[in-house]
Formats: sequence, structure tokens, C-alpha cells
Amino acid sequence: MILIITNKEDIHPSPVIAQLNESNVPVFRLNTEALLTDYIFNFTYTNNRYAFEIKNCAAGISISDASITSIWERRIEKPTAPHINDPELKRICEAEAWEFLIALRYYLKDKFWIGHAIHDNTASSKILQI
Amino acid sequence: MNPSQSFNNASQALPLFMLNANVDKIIDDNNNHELPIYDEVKQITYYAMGLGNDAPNGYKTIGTRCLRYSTTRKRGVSGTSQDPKNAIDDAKNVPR
Repeated sequence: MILIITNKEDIHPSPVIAQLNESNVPVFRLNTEALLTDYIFNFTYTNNRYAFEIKNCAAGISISDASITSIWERRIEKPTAPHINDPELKRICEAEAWEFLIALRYYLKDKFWIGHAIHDNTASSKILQI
Repeated sequence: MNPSQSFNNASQALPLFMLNANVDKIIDDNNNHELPIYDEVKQITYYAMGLGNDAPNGYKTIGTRCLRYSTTRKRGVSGTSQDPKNAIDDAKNVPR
């Protein structure tokens, strides 16, 4: 299954997803701004091995880390928590979700990526290019 | 709109005049694109289109109109409505 990490406003994954659907390639779209509202993450540790599953509550589909064959990261956004009214609580939750997103992408760093979350930053470093 | 009455030399929309573009239509179209519609089941984003849309469901994806403006590079984080850097998209902010 292909994991596409993007945001809801980005239309560019749309024709790709349509084409993948046509080719019967399963796709899971993770819209990062909706991390706190649309998704459930379930982490387990059994037999000395971590595993996780992401469930898209609205779409009713899930993806496990073992089933991820490749990842396309395209213009992620920081998670938002529109359902939380308390400003301080909202700030903390959004900051924690953003940190979690960073950690999640590091956890998946050994998968096959298009637009690698970590290596792309290295490649774009002007200091390293000098 | 009479272009000469609303745009100054510093306007970001000036290149559009050089292309004989219909600025009103571009601004209207661009405003329409401010309404992303996300299909949760299909996991696909649509943008509402202006006049002339013949898509059966009233919407269609946009992928070939970047000659006039980017549909995704708006202000703020690149590719989102928070993108600060899209000069051509700023045409919609010109006083009307």
C-alpha cells in the first residue's frame, strides 16, 4: 500500500490516486492538518517489535507500517485542533501532534520514498552543497 | 473592470495584462479555487470551477491551468493557503 502524506487542499495527489485506484494499487492518504481529527493511531509492541496502524475514520480504511510499500510526501501542513477551544490546550496538542508527525516520518525513514522527509532536507542544505 | 483604473505599476497582476489576460475572469476563477472539496471516501480533492464547467458532478480537478496561476501554491506553507510566496496568485488581492 502506498502512503501519501499531504494535505486536503493539495489537488496534485488527486490524479495520482485516481490512476492508482484504476491500477488497483491501494492508497492511503494522510492529510497531516487533520491528524488530530480524522485519524486514529494504534501502536503495539509484541515479540520485540513495534508496529502501528493508522485508521482514517472518515474513509473507513487503515494502513499498517508493515503494509507500507512506498511513501510520497507532498507539502505537509502542521496539524490543527479546531475542536479544542482552550487556547493553551490547543497549542499543546497541536505542538505534540507536529512532534509526533516528525517522529513518525523518522520511524518510516527506511521505506522507499518520493520526496524523502529527512534526506530532502539534507539535499536542500546550501551549506552542505558548498 | 477597466484595468487602467485599478492597477498601478507595482501591481503583481501586471504580467497578466502583458499576456492580454482577462483579469476579472482569472480573479473569479481563482476565488472559486478557494473552495477545496475533499472527498473522504475517494481521498481526492476537488476545486469548484467557474462558468463553463461541464463536469457531470459539477466539479473537476485542475492540473493544466498553471500557465495562468498555480492552484495549489497559495499564501503560507508552500502548496497551501498559508503560502506567502505566490506572486501571481496575489493578483486576486488587487483592489477591485
